Amino acid sequence: MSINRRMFVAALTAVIGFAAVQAAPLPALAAEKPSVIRLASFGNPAGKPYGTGAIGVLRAQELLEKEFAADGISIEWQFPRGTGPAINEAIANGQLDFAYYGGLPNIVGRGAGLKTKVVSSYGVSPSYVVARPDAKIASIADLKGKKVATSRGTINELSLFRILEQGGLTPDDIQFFDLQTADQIAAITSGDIDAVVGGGSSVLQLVEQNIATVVFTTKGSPAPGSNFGSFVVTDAFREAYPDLTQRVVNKFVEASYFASDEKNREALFDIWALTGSPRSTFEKDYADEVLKDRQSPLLDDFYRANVTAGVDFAVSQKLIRKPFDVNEWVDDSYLKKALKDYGYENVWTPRDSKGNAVQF
Amino acid sequence: MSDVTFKAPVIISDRRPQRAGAGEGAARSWARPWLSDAATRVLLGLVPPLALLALWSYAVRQEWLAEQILPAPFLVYETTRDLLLTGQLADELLVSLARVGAGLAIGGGLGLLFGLAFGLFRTLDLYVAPTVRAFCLVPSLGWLPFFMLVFGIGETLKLVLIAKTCFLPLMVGAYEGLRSRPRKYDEVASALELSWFSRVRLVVWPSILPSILTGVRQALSRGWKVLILVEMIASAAGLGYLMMWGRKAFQLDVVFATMIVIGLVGWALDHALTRFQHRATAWSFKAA
Repeated sequence: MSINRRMFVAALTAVIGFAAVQAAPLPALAAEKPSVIRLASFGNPAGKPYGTGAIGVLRAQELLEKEFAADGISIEWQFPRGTGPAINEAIANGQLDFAYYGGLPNIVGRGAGLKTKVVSSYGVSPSYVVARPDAKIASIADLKGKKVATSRGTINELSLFRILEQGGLTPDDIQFFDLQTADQIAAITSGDIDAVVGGGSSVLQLVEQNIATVVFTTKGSPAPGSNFGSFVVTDAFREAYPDLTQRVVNKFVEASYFASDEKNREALFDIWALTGSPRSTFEKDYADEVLKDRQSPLLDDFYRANVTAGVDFAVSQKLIRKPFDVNEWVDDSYLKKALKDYGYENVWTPRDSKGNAVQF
Repeated sequence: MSDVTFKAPVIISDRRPQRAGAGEGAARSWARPWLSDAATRVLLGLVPPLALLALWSYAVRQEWLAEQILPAPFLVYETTRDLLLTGQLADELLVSLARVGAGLAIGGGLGLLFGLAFGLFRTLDLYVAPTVRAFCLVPSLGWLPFFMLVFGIGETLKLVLIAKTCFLPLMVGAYEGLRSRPRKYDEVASALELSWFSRVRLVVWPSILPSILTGVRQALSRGWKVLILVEMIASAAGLGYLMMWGRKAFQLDVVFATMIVIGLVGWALDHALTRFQHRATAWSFKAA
């Protein structure tokens, strides 16, 4: 049997009518306490539900699970492989309360109108440029015309841009490939790309396997191009549960403190190795580095300068349509309270906008 | 873009003769009398997209989804216009079309050859065809990790994947065309004592052309889809890349603009091929 016009029009009317009836929006219910607190951080190539940095400690030591067990609140973790961009989507969908992720997607999400507040920094970590030995790349300037891969929309894209700047190059001078971490490894192994830009735990594997050598790193310096990011809370959660927000930040600061204590160095690497990245890459990444220089949760001038530069970059690349004020986005009241309550006020040294330690 | 077989257009092509007869009264009774039949058809064809647009606007106004996820139609319109004006959309589209064209030529050509060979030579069909088919039946995405290691992430990978996708429909088209054509054609050819060449040109080729063209349409439709997919995974240009970029930049308006272009271009390609098919092998639809 075939569908004639009359039936078609009738069906159409029915569909539209049904849609209109369904249109009544659902009221948002704010209970006294949620049944679950949902957190996310960037995933790893192995797809394991663990993280690095302070969030990795928070996750592995189950600090939140223990803290909220008595309240009957469970903790839900997400470590999407799509990293920052996927976290933005989850926040927009209302599927997350807290997220710990890289500066660029973080800025892009805020720029697109995600309602969040920054409650802590995730510190800084160095970026690396690794290249195939036969690609004849010895400096940043040598990247000109080469095939360079990183994952777009992540903090590494911003790092790449900043690093190129230091060599007097622009993104138009290189052949850019947008690849996820797992694909980067395949592509540089097969010789399809010449260089990869990324953080230690993802690219140092390549060095270990003798596939690539480090040609540039921001390690040991506050040079622009380092990886930075934030721990954010959604406005919806913060407004509904200010006390719970404070307790989550407290635990986060506890985790940061653990991750900043040199006597935990070995234990830390064990925790981070749960992500599936070889333990040795963390050892190498952190060799000659002071833990607390990297794991500082402080929302100091250095953090704000990094974010401001990221906002400018995002505007210039049309990743966001208009700039926003970093200071309005940051809410350091939770962090300040946590530092005060724990007596951690002098554990981390604030830095000025150039990245130098502030001397008292 | 649909995977409809060549039977489906029969309904469209047979509309006119039908309406000239008994169907006319019913169709006209409610259609506005001052509108021509063709205009009514176009207008009615526009109803679903417009209804969708209305629903979309309504959903945005009611905030069924966050504005970051479901952008307003007007924003998508503006983005599409910007992408068109800057020439970016045209550039990416050309890259994508070139890829699908090359993939179709290579994969489709090989598929045609294999299909004809299997149709003509029984031994090949018995011993080789099962292996070839098994290869084809592993979906393109299943081959991707392996292909990426072998062919890298450059143009070769895209061509290979599209060619692989276009291979099967044409192989099957040519094969089925050969196997299922009526024997009586051969008998007529024998009775007319045609030479081998004339027999191929006048009898065999026209008789398998409809199913080959159907194969081409399917190949193009599938190739187009897999192209977008592979461009999303490993690429620095093309519509799929533009879409992925939009997603990573959290600009769903770019994603929507790209989706609309992908859909429209896919539909246009399919439509053009269908029209061509009707002109080239109109007889097969009448006989059906």
